[in-house]
Order: sequence, then structure tokens, then C-alpha cells
Amino acid sequence: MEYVLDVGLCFMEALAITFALDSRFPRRFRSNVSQFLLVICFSLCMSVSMILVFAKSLTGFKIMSGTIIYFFFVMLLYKEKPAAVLLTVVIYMGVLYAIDYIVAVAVMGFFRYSYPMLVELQSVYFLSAFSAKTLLVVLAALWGRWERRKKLGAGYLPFSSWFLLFFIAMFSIFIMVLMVNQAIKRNELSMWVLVLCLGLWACDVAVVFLWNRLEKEGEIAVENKLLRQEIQSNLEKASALEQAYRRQRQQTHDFNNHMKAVQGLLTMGKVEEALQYVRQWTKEEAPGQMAIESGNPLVDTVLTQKYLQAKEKGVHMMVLLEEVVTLPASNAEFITVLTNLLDNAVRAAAECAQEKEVRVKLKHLADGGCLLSVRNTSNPVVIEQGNIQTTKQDAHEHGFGIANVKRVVEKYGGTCSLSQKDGWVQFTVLFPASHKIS
Amino acid sequence: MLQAAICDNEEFFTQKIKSLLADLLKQYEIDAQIEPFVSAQTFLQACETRRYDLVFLDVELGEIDGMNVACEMRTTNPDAILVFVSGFVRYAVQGYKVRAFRYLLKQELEEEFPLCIKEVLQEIKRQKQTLSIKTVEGATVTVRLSDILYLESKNHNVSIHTAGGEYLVHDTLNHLCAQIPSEDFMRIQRSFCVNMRSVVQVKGNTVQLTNKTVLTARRQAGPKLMRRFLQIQGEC
Repeated sequence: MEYVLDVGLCFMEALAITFALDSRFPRRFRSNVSQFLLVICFSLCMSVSMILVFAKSLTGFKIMSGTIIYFFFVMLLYKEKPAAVLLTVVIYMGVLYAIDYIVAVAVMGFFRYSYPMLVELQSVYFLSAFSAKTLLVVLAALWGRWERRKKLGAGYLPFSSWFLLFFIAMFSIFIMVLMVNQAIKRNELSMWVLVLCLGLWACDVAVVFLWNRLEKEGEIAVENKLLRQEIQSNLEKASALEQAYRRQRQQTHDFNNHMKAVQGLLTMGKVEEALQYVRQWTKEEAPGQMAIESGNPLVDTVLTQKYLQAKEKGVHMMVLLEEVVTLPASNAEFITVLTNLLDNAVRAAAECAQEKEVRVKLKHLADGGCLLSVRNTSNPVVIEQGNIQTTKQDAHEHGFGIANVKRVVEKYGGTCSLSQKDGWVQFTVLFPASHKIS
Repeated sequence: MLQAAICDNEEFFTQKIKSLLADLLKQYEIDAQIEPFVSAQTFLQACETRRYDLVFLDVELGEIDGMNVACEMRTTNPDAILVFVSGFVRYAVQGYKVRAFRYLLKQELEEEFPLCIKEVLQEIKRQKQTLSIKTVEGATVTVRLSDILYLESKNHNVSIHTAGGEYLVHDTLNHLCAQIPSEDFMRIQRSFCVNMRSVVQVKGNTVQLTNKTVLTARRQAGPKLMRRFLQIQGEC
């Protein structure tokens, strides 16, 4: 029985270290099943070696060998430099023993036992050990999530739910201790109490797993939203093309009518009137008063469409093009980047009191990289971690555009930069040369 | 004294631009000589002898293509700031080749003019920023900041590398950098201070300059260099 419990303890220790390190180091075996299997194998090896080889050796030697075994385990599971792994394992061992010690002292204080008594009374010993390991797993999971959140920005679950998890762990430990205490007092320490304790402990581990799962699902939901947004931008692109086509048709139609009118005037011999008509007609404003010739018809269409949309909102847009542009990404992806940046820029510029301006610059760098920069006048904004902090109510909906832009840029190994200067906000994207599709 | 030229075959517009420009410059308290031209030929002839700071050019100059006029003007006035004014804007690659600074629509002249002039003046100011130095040989030289590629500390001197040559100054890099009134200069390492506008490429923590020199920055400076580089390259 105690061997089984020992394996359980080792299992929790190993689980805790994987939870904590997942956020820090790149893992070799990505699936949950392989993680489980490895942790189980490891805990079996560890406990067997502990029981058979090191059981009678000194504590210092035990800690040393434990560290070495953990070192190999982590090296096997993660792709990371040995020095970093060694440091992490040493820190982890420190934390592990600290928690063990704190819980042991708490349990001793609660039952008013001395240390020899604690070791002798196995039920209480295992209770304290399991409490310590449960606490360790929960703390490791919390820390891991915290690191991940720092790295990836806001997660899916709110911060408060983390404390909920901590409460569950704390109270289940508390209930276990209380239960065993009562049982010992009444001298009724039976198998059932142990089974109940084990059940509670299993619940704790299950909660941690479910919680991880929920976060993952949440991430998938966010990803879904991103994709939906991309579809939206594709639809927009299609409608831009359709509108351009319709405009063209309209112009052809008008042109035919004009020609007929001139023809009519000329056949009647009214040359002066015909000239008058043509003069007046050529003075009429062209629909957009602008044309964009970037070398890519799709980019031209989208830029024209956005130009007209901006004009409706009183925003003036200017385009700077250098050389005939070879798109650095696939058409669809580049348009996603362009439309999202332009939409944001036009929206922000429209909110300005005056000088509603948007500028687009597309150029190749000396090494062949492609640079796209979108600038706009803007009310002062707060830039944090490369994102504009929104003050709007729909903060969750907001920023998806930028997330989509970053996704495409990251896919091509590019760089984004967001900056603010003299009332202008500038978002610059650089696609490196190696990914150019010619 | 700001030298400006306006070239448009419709006199109505040359006069309109002239009065708009004169009014704005008066607000900025800048003296200017503004010359209107209604023919591209006379404008190009004037370019032979005059150096303009600012040129407004119509793209549709009757029979002649404004782009060609701009190309020809660039041979005599490479530093002039060129603003295209037309009834129809063609955002095309050619505009970049002649380094057009802005495009203005005749229909929106009143609305767009103030911002355009504000930015033109900023650009002129930037171009004309200079640094007076005393070389170790004892000569006093005035260098345009935009010509400086980078500064390098050498023993107890600072070497100023410019597009036109190298100047050695008896000074410390710290002291000299503090004198430069521009955000474009960045101390990338203990002994280098780089004009970020002369950088054509950033790779990791190395920068390549317009004259093909490659400098290595502090190891951790990479992301900051990239940000600054993108910011400057993306300006328009």
C-alpha cells in the first residue's frame, strides 16, 4: 500500500514540474497522453529507485540524486540548454522541499505531533505528503498559466477563476486533515477514510486538468473568432471588386450615352454645340479623382475602395508607392493585413477633431524585404505591449484586426511595430525577403 | 529666405497656390520668394540657375507630362521638395522615382494646404539642420546632419563619417551626441552613434548603412534598432 502511495507522490511531483515548465521551455512530445505516460514511467522509476537504493542513505545524498534524476527527466521531455534545466531543477527542488516542510510543520502543529511521531503514524505522514504535493501541483499550474499569460497577452479565463482553483485545493486539503484528525481522535481510522482522502485528492488533480482544458478551448474559440473576421475581410474584398466592376460598367454606360449625344449633335452639323458638350463633359469630375497603380490590381482595387470609404468619413488618404510591388505574402493574406490596418487607421483618423489623414506606404527595402506602413492622425492613445489599449466597452471584440495582422506577419517571419509621434499613430509591417512569392 | 516655384499651365491655379502659400508662410513668419510659371519651358530654364526649396508642379501641363518635367527638374534641383498639384491623382511608381513629397488635388486645395505646408516646413528644417565642428587640424566645418552616417569614438577623438568624407574631432562621443538636436541619432554601442536615417538594413543587432558599412550594436539592442528603423522607413 505504501509503495503505491509513494508512486502517487512521485507522480504528482513530476506532473507539477511539467505544468510549471510547459510555459517556459519547448516540449518534445506535445500530446497530453505522451505527457501522462512519461510522467507515470518516470514516477515508477523514481519511486522504485528511491525505495530500493536510497531509502537508507542520507538526506543530502537523496536530494542530490533526486536532482540528477529530475535533470535527466526534464532533458528528455524538453528541448533546452542543460545549464538552464539544471538551474530550474535546483530551484524546483528548493520549492518542493520548502512546501513539504511548511505543510509538515502545519500538520504537526494541527495534530500536536512531534516529527518522529509523524513519521511513525503513516496515515498522517501520507496525509501531510499528499497535501504538500497537491499544493505543489496547483501552484505549479498557476505559475505556468501566469507565465503563459505574460507571454501571450490576455488569456481566456478571468484572473479571479485562478483563485477559485486555489481555494478548491486549499479547502480539500483542509477537509482531508480535518477528517483524518477526527478519525484518529475517535480511533476509527479505517480504509474508508483513506479512500475518501484519495477521492478528494483525485478531484483536485481533475480540476487542474479540466481548468487547463477550458483555457485551451477558450484559445480555440478566440482563434475561431479570428478566422471569422478574416472571412469577413475576404467578403469585403469581394464586394470591393464587385463595386469596382459596377463602377466600370456605369462609366461605360455613361460613355456610350455621351458618345451618342455627340454623334447626334455632329450629324445635325452643330459642331460648336458638340465641342461645348465635350468640353463640359471632360471637366466633369472623375469618380474618385484618383488612380492607384501599384502593379497589383487587387491591391489597387482595395486601396481605391478604402480611399472612397475614407472620403465619405471626411478622411483624406494618401498613398506612396515605390517600384512595382511584388507581394510578400499570398494575395488573400496581404489584403487581410492591408484592410485591417486601413480600417483601424480610417476609424481612428475620423475621430480626430481636425487633420483627418491616413497615409499608406509600400516599398521594398535594400535586401528585398517588403515594408508596409499605415499612418494616421489620432487622438492620444496608450500603447502597451505593441497594442493600443482600447477604452471602448467592446474591448473583447476590438483588436481582432491587429491580432489577424500579427498572425499573418508572424507566419512569414516578419516584424510589426506600432508607434506614436506628434499626433500620428504608425503601424509598420516588415516582411523579410526570403518569403517573397514572385 | 524660402525659395518656392509654382508651375501650372492654368494661371488661375498658380495665383491661387501663390496666395495660399504666401498667407500660410506669413503665419509662420517665414520670408519667401515665390515664383509662378505658366510654362514648363520657362520653369526648367529657371531651374538651371535657381535652387528651389519647394516646388509645386502640375502633372498635366498641357502637352507635356509633368512627370518628365519633374525628372528634368531633379537633375538641377535634387534637394527641392516636390509637391504635385493636379485635378486627378495618379498614385503610381513614377511619383516615387522623382521623390514627390505630396500629392494635392486641385479640388481640395484649401483643405489640404495647411497640413501640407506644415510638413514641408518640418522637412526643410530637418534637411537644414547642421552641426558645427572643429577638426583636429583646426578647421571649422559645418556638416549637415542628414549627411552624417555615423560617429565613432577613436582613442580620445571622435570620427564623424559623412557621405562626403571623414572628419576627426577632439571631443568625447557623449558630449558630441548631446549636442546633436535630432532624434534620428542612436547610440548603438559604446563607440558608435548612428544616424538611423542612413540605415538601409537591420539584421539582428547589426545595421547596414547607405555606404555598405556594417556596424554591430550591443547584443540586446536588436529589437529597439528594428523598431526605430521601421518607424523611420515607414514615415511618409
